[in-house]
Formats: sequence, structure tokens, C-alpha cells
Amino acid sequence: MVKYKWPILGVLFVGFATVPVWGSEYVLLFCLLYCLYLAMSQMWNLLAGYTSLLSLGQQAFIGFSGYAVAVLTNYYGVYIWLSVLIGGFFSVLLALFMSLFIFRMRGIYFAIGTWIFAEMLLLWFSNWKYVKYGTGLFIKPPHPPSMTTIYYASLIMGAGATAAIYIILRSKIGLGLMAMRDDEDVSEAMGVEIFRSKLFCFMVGSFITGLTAGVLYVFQIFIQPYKAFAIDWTVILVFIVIIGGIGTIEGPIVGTFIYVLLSQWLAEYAHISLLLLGIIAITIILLAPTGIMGTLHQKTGFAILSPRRL
Amino acid sequence: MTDILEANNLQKTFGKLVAVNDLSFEVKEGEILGMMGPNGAGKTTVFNLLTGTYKPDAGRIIFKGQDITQKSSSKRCRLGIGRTYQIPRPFDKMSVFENLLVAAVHGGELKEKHARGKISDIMDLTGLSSVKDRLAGGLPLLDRKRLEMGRALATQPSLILLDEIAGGLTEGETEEVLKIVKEIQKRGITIVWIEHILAMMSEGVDRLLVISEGRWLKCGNPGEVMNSEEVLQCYLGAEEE
Amino acid sequence: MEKKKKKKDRYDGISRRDFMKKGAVAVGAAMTSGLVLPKVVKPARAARRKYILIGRPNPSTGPIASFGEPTPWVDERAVAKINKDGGIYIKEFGKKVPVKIKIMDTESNPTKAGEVASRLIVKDKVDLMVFYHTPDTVNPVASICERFKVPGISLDAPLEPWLEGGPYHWNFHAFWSVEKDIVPVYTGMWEQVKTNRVVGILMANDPDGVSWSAVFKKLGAKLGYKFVDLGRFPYFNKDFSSFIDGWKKQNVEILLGNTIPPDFATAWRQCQRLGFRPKVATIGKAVLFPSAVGALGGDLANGLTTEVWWSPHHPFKSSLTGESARELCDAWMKDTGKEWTQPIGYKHAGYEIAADVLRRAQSIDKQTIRNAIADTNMDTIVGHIRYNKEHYSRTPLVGGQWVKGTKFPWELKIVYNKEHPNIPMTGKIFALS
Repeated sequence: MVKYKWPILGVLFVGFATVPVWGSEYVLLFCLLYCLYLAMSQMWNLLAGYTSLLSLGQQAFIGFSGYAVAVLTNYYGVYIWLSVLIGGFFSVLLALFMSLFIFRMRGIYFAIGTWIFAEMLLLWFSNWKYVKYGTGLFIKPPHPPSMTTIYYASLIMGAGATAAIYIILRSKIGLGLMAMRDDEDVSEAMGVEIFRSKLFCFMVGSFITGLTAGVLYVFQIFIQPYKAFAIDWTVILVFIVIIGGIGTIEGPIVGTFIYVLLSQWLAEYAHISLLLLGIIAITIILLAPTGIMGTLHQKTGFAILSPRRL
Repeated sequence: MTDILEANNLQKTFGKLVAVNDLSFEVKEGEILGMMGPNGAGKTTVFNLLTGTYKPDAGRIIFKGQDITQKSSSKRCRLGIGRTYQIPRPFDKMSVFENLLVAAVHGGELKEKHARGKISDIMDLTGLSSVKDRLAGGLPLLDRKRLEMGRALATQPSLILLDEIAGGLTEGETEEVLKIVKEIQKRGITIVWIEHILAMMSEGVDRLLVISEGRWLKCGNPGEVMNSEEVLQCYLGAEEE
Repeated sequence: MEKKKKKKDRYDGISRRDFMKKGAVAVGAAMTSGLVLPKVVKPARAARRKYILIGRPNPSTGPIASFGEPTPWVDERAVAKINKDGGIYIKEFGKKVPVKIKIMDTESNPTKAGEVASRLIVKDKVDLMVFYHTPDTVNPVASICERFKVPGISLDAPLEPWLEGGPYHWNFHAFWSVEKDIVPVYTGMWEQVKTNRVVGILMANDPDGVSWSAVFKKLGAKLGYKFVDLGRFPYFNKDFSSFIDGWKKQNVEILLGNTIPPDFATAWRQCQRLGFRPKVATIGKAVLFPSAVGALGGDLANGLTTEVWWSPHHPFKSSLTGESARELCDAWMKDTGKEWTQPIGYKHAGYEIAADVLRRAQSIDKQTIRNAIADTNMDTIVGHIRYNKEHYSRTPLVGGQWVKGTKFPWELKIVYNKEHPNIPMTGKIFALS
């Protein structure tokens, strides 16, 4: 399996890259959503699965960056993709600001700290006249991008996020992260810079999540604070990563596929969709306690994108 | 011989307990300094102060002429202080090789490619080559002790702190550990060694420091120190309790 | 060791070269298949179904589910009627074809609504989108219809937030305006009760609360009302005593609110307990549905006033079934055992418009359908629909008051109709104290 790693990944990537050629409009939509959720869940995986930063506040970056895109395109006429990029940087600034307060906290306190930040942003945006309070904004560039263009932007995010997490984990920082995961105090005594590594990952996570959210809202067109800053986002990311296998790169790849497929399929069963989603999640967790890829890895040693050193 | 490390008037209290009390000592470059004392004498606390796990309430620590009292433990590791843990704390879900690699790349600041060579050398020295790819969590005690030493060595230290590295091992295994320690010294690395086993302390170390209730009791030639009145009284007293 | 290292390097080299080679083959294969496949697959896909498909994103679950509740009852009933004689003549098929609908849950979430609408368009290939219920559904779905150039008919969301998304090419909307309809109806009701014209504001910190309070303060001042605004409050606020004290101190006699039902229940109970008894209490959203009114408990609902956009008393008839508003409500009550709600009429009207449009368009060509919507000029169960240049049609709004009922615990009487005298009054407003 490992031997054919690069060819397999190459074929996958080429397959995705040529979707506009071979796929129907629906396949394109499916792959678009897949790539966006993949990018965001990989980043949550990087934080929660490898950096022991249990963030429940990913929606802070999603909403903040989404609003940055809306404000920049609508009020300042900034070119849409440039505003997406700026939105990503805004997201990093937010992460830096947040880190001043929450990086002293550990575990569950950190989780709640990030959540509170997101809630504060929700309050702020819904009370801010400049963004029309809670009414929401329409992202309306003068020349709306085509679905194909939006798809390629989301493919860049999905593939980019996966490549980023792989590169980070194969780097010096990634080696330190794995040691931190096993024993934080000892890893520090072995020379690992805990604070810097965590901050680095938090910033990478916020940047890619922010960029992805920008693309997402270019696709969505309409942004409204109550859902942009809702914990629902993180709940989805947690679902994906847990189902797929936390702390594995393949986990979100599989988990996202399952989530997008389910959410598309279940939307037709209006009143019971959430119930079914819950049942499926519980079933998978019972059958595969460490997620699909996590359990597969434990049982067979299967891993394509392993950060292990040999 | 110059002093590689100086501890000056170290003080550390936990609540009401005074763990280290106005303790001063020095470590000379290239030597093996043994550290002894009854249970609860504050030996491990001294290690934790030296490596930065704890910050002292008072006192200063000078390493290679540099005041490191306020430096983080990761910084001290990179400056050249390596350590082992009394109860081995390997990175469980990583292989033996990866355990050493973390130490070499982070603590030793080596490039990963360059580190590989050094690590295989360390594995040969500590006898870890045969378990290279096993997960550290599943190793038997002797291998865990070896891994503790190997990992500390991989940080490319000039001073290494060994915390009861022979504790819990059989006599034969202890011999092996002693050999490794001597080999480490031969490579020019200074060692501070906490151990309970008297025999090992008397033959293995160059100087012996005895502390009791966090205070300096006696320091010098191992034979002399062990037979000194203060030390005997301290140990006998401790046993009587 | 050295040997091992070399071996590894060599292995790396092979796999990298391997990758280049195989990668190139893969790219080529994917490209060719990409070029060939459409020719093979697309004709099969192009074989069209023999029916008209209407997409129906609906908030079936979540906070605004009570708006979506009459789905699928209304939908199935209306579609059955449309298809009774074989459906609608479509010239592409050369015959009458039935209308089918596809309902998908938005979970009351605008993000989900956008995804669902996209899917209905690209996967199910809907010919027309019909959607309703608050900006959370209407805004995102309208945006997606614009993107994919699919005609959309929407109802039941205030005009102002919908207009923010304009100008529209493919979407047409019908409902009332906060500024032009809500304010006159509310103040009109207040005029009928003798008060000191001092209004206390009870509004949540949400889109409606924020926009309503701003609009009322701006327009109400011109009409001689004085507003005591002590600020917005968060959802599920537990203590309203500081609000109530403030209103009492400033002698408030009119209470103006827009909250979610549980918050109004808390606030209104505390008003009673602390002895704050305004002469009029006009509340948006919280007392729209009989279930929420009943949940207030005791006699607390008695005399509360609110806006009425549709009721059995509205003198309109369905162009589809010939039923009057009363008959539609009776059918609902008979089938479900539940009291009528205001969205029922609007939901039904959506199908009236859709059927009328398709009959005139006689086509499933999107541009033709869109033009047919633009030409709409018809009477529906919610009133006359004729879209203006900005693609909207204002529907009538009157004022109502909750009183003890005979059939159900609480019934809504129409007590104000100045702008729409054709909608009969069924009661006379009375002061609360």
C-alpha cells in the first residue's frame, strides 16, 4: 500500500482536478462541498488530534473570515479571490489575539475559551450596524465566479489542507507534536518548544479554516451571524474527524466523504434526518471506537499518509 | 577542572514542605557526580530545578557560565542538559527510533537526515538497535531504562542527569547499565547520578554528594563520604524511623 | 546501518521515478476519459423525465419549524389538485405532464438551505423553486437560484431583508414590509385605545428585534409616540425586572415586542407579577402561533395584539381549488385536528402561483417560466399577486387580538383593517387594563 502511495494519491488528485470535465453538475457540487469540509476538518484534526488544542471555536474563524469577504467585496469592491485571501489573514490575526487569552488554558478550559470567543463574535456582529446587525449580508461581487472556478478554489483548499497537515507532521514541528501528544512535560524536557509549536498550528489552522470559509461563503452568497458563528460548524467537524479517525490524516478524508454523502441523502428525510445522523454516528463509533481509519490502522496497520519515521 | 554547573542557594517549597533548602553544589566538567540521600531528601526535586521543570523560589543555577535560572526546560535541554526519569516516561505511541529522533531533532537541534547517523550510534551504545522499530509503550523495563538513557543522549547533552537509572533492575542488568554510564562518561559527557544502590555509588562515581531534608550534608570522595559520621547517622536515623 | 540507509535512499528514488511515470499515465488516462465519458454518459442523462419538478426547501426542523409545519399537508394537497386532469400542458412533451415536488429540510439553517437548494438544482434538475418562511430560508435559496439561473417563487419573509439581496433577475417574492405595513398596522391598533402614547420596547437581540426597534423609533416618533427603549436582550433571558421597572417609572402604557415565544412568556409573566399592566401589548412573532399563545398559561394571552397576514376571515379564494380561506382552514383542522396557522395560506398560494405560471408558460424552459412569473397577475388565497419592477408584490396586513375561543382555547380576532377594509373585522379591540 505504502509503495503505491504517490501513484494512488496522484490519480485521486487528477480525478478531482478533472471533475468539471467528466462529472455532472451534481458531482461537481458534491466534490466542492467535500473539499471544503475536508479542509476544515483536517484543520480541526491538526488542532485536536495532534496538537492537543481541543478547539470548539472554529466557527469564530469561519464567521470572521466569511464576514471579511462580504465586507471587502461589498463595501470596498475588492476582487473576490483577493478578499478571500485577506479573510484568511484576518482569521490569523484573530487567532493571534485569541491566543493572548486562551493559551494559558489547558484541555477543557481551552475548549470553552475558544467557544466563548466565538459567542462573543456572534454578539458583536449581530449588534454591529456596519454589517447590518443580524440581518446578514449578501456577497455580491460585480462578476460572480462560475461554479467551476469556485470548485477549483475549494479543491485547492481541500488538497492544500491535506498536504499542509502532512508536511507539518513530517517536519520537525510534527515530530515534536507527536511527542507532545504522548507526554507534554517530557517532550518539553527533550527540547520541544511547546508554546511555539501550538501557536504555529493554531495559526495554520485558523488561516486554512478562514480561507476555506471564504470560499464557502463565495459559494453560499448569503452570510448571517447566527449561523456563521454557530457551534454547529464545530459539531460537524468533530463528527467528521471522530467518525473518520482522530489523529490520522486519512480519517477526515473518509469521514468527510461519509458526512457529505449522509447530509445530502438525509436532507430528503426531513423530520428524522438528525436522528438518523445520530444513529449512524453512534453505530460507527461502537463498531470502530477510534474511527474508521483509526480502527483500520490498529487492526491491519493500514496507513497511506503516515507521519511515522522509519 | 572547571565547573560545568553551579547551583547556588537553591530553595524550593511545596506548600509547607521545604523540599530543597539553601542547597549549593557544583558539578565539574567530565566527572560523574553521585547524589544520594534518604527517601524524600529532595534529590528528584533538585533534578527538576536543574532541568527547569520547576522554577526555584530562590537561588541561581549557572550552566557553562550562563545564568539559566529563568530559562524554560526546552531551552535548557537545547543548551545541553539531558535527563532521564526515575519511572521511565517514553513517548508510548512512538517507536524507539522516533523517541530518539524527537530528542535529537529538538533537543539536539540536528537536521533529521544528520540525526539518523547519530541515533544509530546511540542505539548501538545503549543496546536499543534490536528494538528500533517497536513502539516504546510495549517495552520491558530494561529496554525502557535504556531508552531513557538513549533519549537523553540523543539531545546531544554536555551534562546528563540520571535519575535512579538502575532502580528496579537485576544485578546483571545493573552491571550493563553501569557499563553504559561509563561509556557515556568516556565520550566527554558530565553526569549527575541519583542512585540508591550503595555499591554502585561507591565504585561508579568520582564524587558523591549526600543531601538530607533538602540540605547539603556532605560532598567528596565516595568512600570518605559514605563512612563519614553525618552520613551514617543520617541513614541510620532514617532507618530507625 | 549504512547499508540500510542506502537501501532506503534507493527505494525512495524508485518510488519517486515510479510516481512520475505512473502519474503521467494517470493524468493522461483521466484526461482522455474526461473527454470521452461525457459523450457516452450525457445522452443517457439528457433523456428527460416526463414530469415537471418543483424544488421545495423547507424548514422542517429547527427553530422556525412551526412555520414549515403545514408541509407536506398543503403541498401534497395542492399538487394532487394540479395533477387531477393529467397535470399541465408542456409543449416540449407535447402533452400534459404531472407536477412533482421534492421537499428537502433546511434545518432552519441558511447554510444548509443554500446547500439543499444547490443540490435540488444540480442533482434533481428542478424546473422551478418554490420556497417560504423567514429570511433564513428565503435569502440563501434566492441567491442560489440567481447563481444557477433557476426561476424562484418565494413568499413569507419581510420584504426589507429580501431586497438586500437584489436586484433579482430570476426571483419573485410576495409578502409585507416592516416599514410600510407593520408600523401602520401596529400604530393603527394603538390609536383605537386611549393611551398616553408612551411605548415600552421589548425586543430580542436578533435580526427582527434589531430592525423592528430601529424602524419603530424612526417612524413612530413622527406619529407622536414616545419610546422607552432599554436595549436588546439575549435569547432565553430570565430576568426582565429592570425592563419592567423602567417602563413603570416612565409610565409606559403600550408594550411593543418582537421576541421568540419562550422569552415573551417569561417577560409577560414577570410583568403580571410585578404589577406592570400596559393598556396595549402588541407582540410580533411570539404570539403568531396558537400553540405558543396557549403555552403562556392562565388568562395571560387574553387581549394580546399582533399582526395578521392571513386568516380564515380573509375574503380570498384559491385559484387552484376554489376553496375560500375558511374552507382551507377547515380542511386543515379536519385532517390534522390542529388550529389553523398563518403560513398555511401562503404555502398554498405558492402552488397557485406556480400552477398559473406553468400553465401560461407551457414550457419547462427556464427563461420562459421566468418571464411567465414576471407577467403574473392573479388573485390567490392571500390576495392579489402582481410583481413590480423590483420583483415583489406586497400582500395585505391587518391587526388581530387573541381572545378566549370556543373551538380552540384561544382564537385570533381581526380588530384592525384600515388599509385593507375588504378583510372584515371580527372583533373590536379592547384595552388590557
